[in-house]
Amino acid sequence: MSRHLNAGRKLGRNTGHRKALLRNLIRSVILSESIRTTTAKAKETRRVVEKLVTKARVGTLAARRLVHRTVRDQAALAKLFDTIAPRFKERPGGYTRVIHLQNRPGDNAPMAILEFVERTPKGEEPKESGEEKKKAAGKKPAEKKPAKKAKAAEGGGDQGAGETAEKKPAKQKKAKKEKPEGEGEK
Amino acid sequence: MGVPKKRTSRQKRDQRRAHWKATAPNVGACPKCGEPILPHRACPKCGEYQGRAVIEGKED
Repeated sequence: MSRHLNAGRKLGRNTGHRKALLRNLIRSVILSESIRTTTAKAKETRRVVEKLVTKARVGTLAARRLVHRTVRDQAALAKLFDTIAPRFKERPGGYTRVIHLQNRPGDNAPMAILEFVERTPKGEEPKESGEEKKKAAGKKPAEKKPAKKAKAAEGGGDQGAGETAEKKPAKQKKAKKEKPEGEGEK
Repeated sequence: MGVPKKRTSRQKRDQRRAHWKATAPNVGACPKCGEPILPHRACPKCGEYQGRAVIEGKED
């Protein structure tokens, strides 16, 4: 059978699993503004996130409730409406970009970064990365230990580790992923 | 059903396989650090793509 009119990827999951995965990914993009996943997941997440930002730009309570159907996390919902949506007020779509990376060692899966076109410190790319470095350096001692525990227990730790741990089973990601995500998070 | 009358000789088999060739990947050089990179991908070494730092903490 031809797959005409069948948009979207199934990502090798059943409906519930896929929905849960995408919600987790969406939450992560909103909170960290930049996430690293497989190319397929990045592109699939992009489909949804773009639509959510467009709705969030309206900013009404009705729009908020509509978005809340997908973004169940209050912190993410607030950030989407209060900081991300105003940033894209003038942009007619295309709020995110997917940057391809090297294939993942292990399973050779094509990886990519999904990020918002405009990041938190506006128009200061070098400074931004410098700041992130500092943040990363400051956080590493605090976060490494809980993250490792989470790896072993596959359960909660501190906030950052807990989130990555809850996503990991779905995304089949290991420790490598945890660090960049944990850094981008706070 | 049609069935081969003769076993394929080693020569014929190998002649057929002579055309199975691996293609070399299309490798370019990173404009910043000169590292070999695959097209349309951020440089794994310096983390740069299209003049912007993409991967944090990877700049040279």
